[in-house]
Amino acid sequence: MKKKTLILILPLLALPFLSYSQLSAYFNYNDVYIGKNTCIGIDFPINSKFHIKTGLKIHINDLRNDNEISAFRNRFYAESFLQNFGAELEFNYTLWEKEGFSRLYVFNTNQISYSQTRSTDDIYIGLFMGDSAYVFQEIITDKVLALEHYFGLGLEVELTNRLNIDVKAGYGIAHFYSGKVAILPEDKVRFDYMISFGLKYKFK
Amino acid sequence: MRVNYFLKALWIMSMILCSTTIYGQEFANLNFNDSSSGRNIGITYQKYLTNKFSVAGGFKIHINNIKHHDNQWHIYYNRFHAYRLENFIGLQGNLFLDVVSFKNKGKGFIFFDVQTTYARTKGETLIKGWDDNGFLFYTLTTDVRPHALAVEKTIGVGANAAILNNWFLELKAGAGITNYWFDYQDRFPYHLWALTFSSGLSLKCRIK
Repeated sequence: MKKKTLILILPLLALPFLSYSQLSAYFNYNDVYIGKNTCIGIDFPINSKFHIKTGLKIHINDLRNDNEISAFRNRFYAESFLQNFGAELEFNYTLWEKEGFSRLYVFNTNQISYSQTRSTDDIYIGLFMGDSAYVFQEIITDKVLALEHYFGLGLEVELTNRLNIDVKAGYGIAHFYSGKVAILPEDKVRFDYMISFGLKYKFK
Repeated sequence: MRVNYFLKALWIMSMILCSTTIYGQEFANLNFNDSSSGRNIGITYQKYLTNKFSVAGGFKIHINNIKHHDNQWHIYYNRFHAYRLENFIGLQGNLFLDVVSFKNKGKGFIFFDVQTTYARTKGETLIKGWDDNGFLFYTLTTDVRPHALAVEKTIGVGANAAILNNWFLELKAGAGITNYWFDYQDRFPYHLWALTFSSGLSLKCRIK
């Protein structure tokens, strides 16, 4: 009962913010630790400096073959339709703004993904006639939960009165949870950069 | 012969630049490009010849990045690797035609871009093999090739928007053809070409 009441109240609490704020829709392309994705969402400013963005993340499948022997870096691969989707929540704060031109901000972006991983790795087996020999192996794991948190700097530039270009880059932490996949301790937490660029459309 | 290509390219670029120093807006551009030869930083000078048409020319500095083997068996794509000072330096030229005007003198445009790279290539490749028991394995080899000249020609679209009164952020992306000429004619074909993609991010400063 309490839970249902809370679910009903929460959107009502958000209404005052929405009524005063200039809502925007955004579309971003992101390169993060687990791979590449696009994100579609809503940006609403809480006040003149502080913005909250929330959106639906769509993973881009890209089968990697490199010699990083990484468990999760660029390895997330949606094996079913639902695994393509995740969520994004971002908080950003304006550091500097030139009215009508651009806005420089610091951000904290959080992404959640729940998907299988797939990779093609080359396992070293020794020397063969003086060269390093590798066995080629495709590895598919069960579903893994990935939580990523990045902090960085972004720049939003006004293309028209309603359309903005948004570019940002940052550094952060990715951590992984799974009941079925045995994750090595060193793979549970990883640090990496993220870059992102996209467009933002103001509704009013 | 290889020097001739450079001289020709340099001469064409100089002619373009010389012919454009009289009228119009001028920009100094700092570009980051992800092209078919690899990634590079470019410094170019851009001049408007008419209200909508502008030309740009300058130099680019190649960023060395050893690409590991992939399943596409690329020899030249993203594989250029500078071993000498002259390998780092390439030429870059652009033609821009503005098609849309945005707020604060920002533009949407179509562009034609030419970049040259003269360097060796370096990549890591897996060679498939079987042992006496029929066991499949791959042998990792580093593949370094002699000098080649890449001329990348890209057509695409882009947009720039004003960050400040005279400073602009520009994004562009396109596709085109890259021609490769080789030094090592007895081992490789003299000339090859490939369809390639390119994208770039630029910071522009209006200087006039």
